[in-house]
Amino acid sequence: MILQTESPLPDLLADLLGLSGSGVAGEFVAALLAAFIVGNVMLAMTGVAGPWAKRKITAKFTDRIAADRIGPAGIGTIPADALRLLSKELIVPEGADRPAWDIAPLIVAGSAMLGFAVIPMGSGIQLADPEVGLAYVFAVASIASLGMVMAGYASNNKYSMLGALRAVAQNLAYEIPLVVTGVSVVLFTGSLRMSEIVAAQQETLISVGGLAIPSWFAIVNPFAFVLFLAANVAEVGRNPFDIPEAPTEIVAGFQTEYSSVYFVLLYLGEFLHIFLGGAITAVLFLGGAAGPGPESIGFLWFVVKIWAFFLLTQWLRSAAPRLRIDQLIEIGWKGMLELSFLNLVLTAVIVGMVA
Amino acid sequence: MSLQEESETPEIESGETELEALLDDLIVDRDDHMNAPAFVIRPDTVQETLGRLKEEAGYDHLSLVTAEEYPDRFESIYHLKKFDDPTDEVSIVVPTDSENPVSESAEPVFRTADWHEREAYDLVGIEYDDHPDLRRILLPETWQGHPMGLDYDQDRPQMVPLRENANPLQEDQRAESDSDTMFVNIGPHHPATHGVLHLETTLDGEQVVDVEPDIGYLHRNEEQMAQNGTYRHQIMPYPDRWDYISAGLLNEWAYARAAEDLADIEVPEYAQIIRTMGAELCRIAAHMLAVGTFALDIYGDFTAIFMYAIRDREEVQNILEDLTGQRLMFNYFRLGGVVWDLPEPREEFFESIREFVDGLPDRLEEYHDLITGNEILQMRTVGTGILPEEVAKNYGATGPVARGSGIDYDIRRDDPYGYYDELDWEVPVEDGCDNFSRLLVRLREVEESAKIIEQCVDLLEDWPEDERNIQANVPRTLRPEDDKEIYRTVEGAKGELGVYIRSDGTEKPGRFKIRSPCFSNLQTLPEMSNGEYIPDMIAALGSLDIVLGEVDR
Amino acid sequence: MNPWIAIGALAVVSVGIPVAMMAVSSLLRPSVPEQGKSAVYESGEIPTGTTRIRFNIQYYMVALLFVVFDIETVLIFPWTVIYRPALEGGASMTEVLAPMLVFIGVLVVGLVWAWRQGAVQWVSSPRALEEKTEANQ
Repeated sequence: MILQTESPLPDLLADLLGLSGSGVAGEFVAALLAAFIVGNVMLAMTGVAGPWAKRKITAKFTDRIAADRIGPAGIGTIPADALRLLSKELIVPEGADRPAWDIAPLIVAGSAMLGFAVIPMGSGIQLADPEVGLAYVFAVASIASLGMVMAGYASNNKYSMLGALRAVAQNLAYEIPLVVTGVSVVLFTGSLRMSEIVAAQQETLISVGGLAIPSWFAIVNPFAFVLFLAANVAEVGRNPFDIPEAPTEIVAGFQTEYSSVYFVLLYLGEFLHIFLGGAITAVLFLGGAAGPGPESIGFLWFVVKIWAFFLLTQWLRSAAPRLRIDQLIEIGWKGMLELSFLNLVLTAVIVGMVA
Repeated sequence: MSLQEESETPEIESGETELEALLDDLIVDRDDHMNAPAFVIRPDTVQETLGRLKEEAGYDHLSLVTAEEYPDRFESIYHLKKFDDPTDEVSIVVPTDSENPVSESAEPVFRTADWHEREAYDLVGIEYDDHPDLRRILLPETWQGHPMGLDYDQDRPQMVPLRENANPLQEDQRAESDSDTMFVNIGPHHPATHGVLHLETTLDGEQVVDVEPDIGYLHRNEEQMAQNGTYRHQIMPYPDRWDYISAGLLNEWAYARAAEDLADIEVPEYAQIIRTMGAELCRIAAHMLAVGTFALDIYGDFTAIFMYAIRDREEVQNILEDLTGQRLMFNYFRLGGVVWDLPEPREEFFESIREFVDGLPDRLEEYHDLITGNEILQMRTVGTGILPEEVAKNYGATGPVARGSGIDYDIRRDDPYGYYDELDWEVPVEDGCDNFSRLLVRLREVEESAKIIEQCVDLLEDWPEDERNIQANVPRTLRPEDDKEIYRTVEGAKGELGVYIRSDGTEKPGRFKIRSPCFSNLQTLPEMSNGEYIPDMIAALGSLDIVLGEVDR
Repeated sequence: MNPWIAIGALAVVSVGIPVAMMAVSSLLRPSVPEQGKSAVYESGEIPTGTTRIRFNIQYYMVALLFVVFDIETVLIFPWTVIYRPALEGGASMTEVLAPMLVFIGVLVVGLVWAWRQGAVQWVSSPRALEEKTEANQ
């Protein structure tokens, strides 16, 4: 079971390294170490996803082979691409709003990474488990659109500007349905704490012929799950909601003027964001790190779940047309918002009946 | 071909007297072309003449404007047709003196004359009075001289500076509180412009207030190149380079049809069937790419549909490669037939075509599942990029663009050539006038083309071996007699593709003019996308399916 | 350990890693400044006018509504947290659910009003609509 502490991984490390007795400074060192591990795990995952897995997956959808030159199945593309991208010249556009232009990639990449702080990844890997975990993760995840607006506005480029304004509009459209659907889960758990949300999903819902079906909220309330998935795809800005980038319309949207490491950071931030979206979905609806087998391999299940979400976004990219921004606003406000309120009330009624 | 003409001659003549009566006070002279009666009028009565022909005689399709400089005069020729019956043609010849080449513009009568006259001004140097916007269109604005004029100096150095474009609505800020319009250049280097097209776009928020296509980036003056080639062999390779998106055989046919009629060459039936089959294969290949790139515009860069479309196009190209020896620049037609017979072993070749054609319905089903059946795509395309029927006619839109606007017009059926009138097929027409209709028309045309190919294969299979005549007897050097003029069109992949040739008694054409369907179709873009959102403008552009090689020539 | 120490540590890391990447990149990358390179990208043309204009934000009203609804959403959070414990603590369903129903009801009435006022949608630019072909037919 998950450790009874509010910051499982740092405490574990502190115990292992004998830092627990050395006050706040020691705690912070342990926390930094833990944060470094979590940060690099996620970075590694996006590193695999961005230059390689994404290409391979899309290639499968379109009957192609994609990267296969370096290493087995082209896996060597990952370090090669990393080196290539980092060693590109950085070109600063004329009239760029300098500090903002430089900070924007930091915000996009940083905010997504920050979201992972409260995600229980199984096998005891969870950095922090504050009481307001869910509220925190929603808050942090939406900081990224601030970064997009900064990037778009500071670039002094018209396509970027259009992309930035679209990013705002998109945020307006899905943010409320996303959060309202997300908190409908809290009605079941009675807590915003991530570990408790996961724990509440471990009970067996029903047994079918000896096969125990857990009470994952995706199974308990599939309607909310679908609604949440749709809003989540919009949150991470993937097809059919890749409107702020929309390559065939506004070139690359807010990131048109970025090159070199800044572009890497924006790109990285987007992939981190997809994984964060997958992580939130897994925690809220798919029982977090739960799965068959011993608890120690929970992390593997967690990885499987977030990659499943990643796969979904890539599938949509291959198959779903892009919406128009005004249509997204209408869908968000005239459809999803009402449905999410309806879902909230219905969930409340069901919980009231059961409890 | 000549047989048909003869049978139609009496009809034309009865029409001619009516036309003469209608234009009685305007006609100065007659200068008949091989395809149509031609009336010479004074340069200040262009609008009056064309207006009467359009309103009272029903000539509602200004197919082409040809301009040429002669030693003693400039001449603009307006080739008019009827959308109901494209064989009913009339040409209006407008000579102007060489000192002061000013002619009245036809733009108020036919919107399509706008670009055609700009091209005439640009390349030949005729000025059009009353034209709304007489600027260069294919060449840069700073170009000196008119390349197809007689006194043009090829060696003169040209300076083409890169300048900022102007926002046409900069001054249109009515009140203090009004927001500004934003001028954005979309293209020439942009993911959605299908080549090197430049759209000068003015936006108000996300909506397009004004868009003006700027073309000419791929201009090679194919007309002049053709004028420097001999009829027999040297011109045929050029048409492959107009619409280079695998529509090569369709383009070659445009030249072949005009030149064969000019030189009175009869094409053997067997060669006609091969031509028909090859042309329809090209049409499938071209439409596959059109559907694929349209999907790119709506779906984004990594859609599976594009790859699927390319995969199917590849199969067509394999067949075409077997037939012609080339994948893109076929150069397969010859005046009087085709260059060689079907590849041996014939059974294998027929088998590969049949395999493709038989598999096509399933594939089209897949496209319909993926594209037309998708609700998001329908949201995006139904009711956007509207091109009403009357507007489409006014702009001389043809091909799938016209048929998507409810205009039942297809040269293959209405002005038959090749073997089309012997075969059983239909012309798909949709009256939605929107992006979706144009997409649907293309997909259904693929179906019809497959039908035609199947029938051609049946015919070719049973063709007696000793009657496989692939080329008529054509003299080694073709020298059509002096001053014969002909304008002939075929149904290309994008619409009515025509060639006007004036012979001058030598083995090279005196004037060679191309009627590019994309050129006229692209002109409708502002009508479709003004007031729409940016994504819909991109979709409308995709639905036009332009190829810049043909627009710019 | 206080979870916010851990979160703070991750904040340091999530700024630190990108900054480190920037540092590595600045060591690796060349710098060949050229006037043409730094021009703002506008499809290969010279940019016309400035980007910083009074842009027509067509979703302005939606943005205003968003502020209202976003705050309401925050107010829903505490209710969802206490909902189940309150029920288990013996409160009747009407007691816990009814106030929230009223609250959401008010929100929905407000939304319906805004919807009918045409505020919950993209505002079309009259200037652009004037240019529409089918409108002028």
